[in-house]
Amino acid sequence: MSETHDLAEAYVLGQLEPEARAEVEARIAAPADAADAALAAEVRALSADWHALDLTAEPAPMAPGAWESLQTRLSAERGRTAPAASGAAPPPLRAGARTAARPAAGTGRGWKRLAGAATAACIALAAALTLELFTPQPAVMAILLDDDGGSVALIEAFDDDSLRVTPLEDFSPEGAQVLQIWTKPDADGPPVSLGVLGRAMRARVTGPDLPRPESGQLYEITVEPPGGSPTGLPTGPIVGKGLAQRPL
Amino acid sequence: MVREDDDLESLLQRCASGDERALKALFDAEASRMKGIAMRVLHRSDMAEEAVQEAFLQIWRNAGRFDPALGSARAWMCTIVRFRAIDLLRSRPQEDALAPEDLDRLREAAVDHAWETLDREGRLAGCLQAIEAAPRRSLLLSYVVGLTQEEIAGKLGRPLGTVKSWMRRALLSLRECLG
Repeated sequence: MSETHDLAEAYVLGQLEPEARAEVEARIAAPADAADAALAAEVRALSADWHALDLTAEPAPMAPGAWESLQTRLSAERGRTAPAASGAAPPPLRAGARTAARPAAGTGRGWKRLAGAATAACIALAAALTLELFTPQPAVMAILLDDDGGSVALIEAFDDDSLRVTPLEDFSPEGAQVLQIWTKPDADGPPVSLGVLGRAMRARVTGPDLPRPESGQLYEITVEPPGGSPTGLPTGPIVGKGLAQRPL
Repeated sequence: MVREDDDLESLLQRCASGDERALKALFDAEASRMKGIAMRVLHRSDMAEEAVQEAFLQIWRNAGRFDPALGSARAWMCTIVRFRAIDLLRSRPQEDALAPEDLDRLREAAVDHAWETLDREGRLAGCLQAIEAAPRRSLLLSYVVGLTQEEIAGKLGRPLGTVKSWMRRALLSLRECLG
């Protein structure tokens, strides 16, 4: 039990690295066993007590235009993604639904076993693969690489024009710039925008009506001005690109 | 404006179903408090604003995951912004930072203010009161200012092992007191 106490305290005090924190949040959101439930209870109790300190912060007025700039970021994000904004009821919290919007929230127990030995990229990939147990098989997958050959994101494209983006590192753009996802359904044709993200986050995006994604199809992510590329074609630096492969 | 029946919990529920006006109401009600929380970690208005912006994006995306059984909406939102601020602090360590002595002074002042204004009737204040000053300060430097144990050790000029055992014992004592 003391391990649970220690973890809950480190979480509430803000001592955990983002990955470990996301793991705690995933366990709390969808407790899989008694240890998760105990952790959730512990975090709930500690958070309630320590919240008293939040109330000692001197309010600091936001700059004029702060809400408008938040709105811009929201609509950039909503351009194609529809996280909670679809009007549907919030997803039920069950084991398979640990994906939400946190990059590392889907790893479950496998994370702990892997964490010592694997790189962050491998862990995120394992997380994405674990989730396949609960979601339809993608038509194709692509690992996007940066100029140096480092893997930056995993794309899974589905038959219904949706795709899932899993960042393997944080390539969030500066300020109000956005990330735009592109594909070339026709190798000799122009890139087509699949959607826009406000920052590097795990997200489900629905693109325009396109032919079924094929092996060898190019996917890439670029940095674009707020709201997305003004020309409808990639204009900014490429964060990563890669060719799709059909999973076995 | 937040109507009386529009408490934060129901505003979050409306966010989960895509109601942007509910997010605006949450923003109007809580953004300046949240910026104050971020300021204690970042000590820079522009970065604190960024933490609040990112926090609200996260609140919007995850509103459907908020579970009132796990705590109050305000505590949830405060935690989100504090963690965003801590992540920003760690992702841009020394880059365009304040002069170290200024930063140090601001951190001292933030912890002093938090401790002096903490509700004395509350359980936390009572239990923290029973802890010795240096271990208590270590806990506050962690929660309020977002420092790692290594940073706390550096700041207090004590070995890391000492700070770790202070914090461990202080947390044990709190566990008994609050439990």
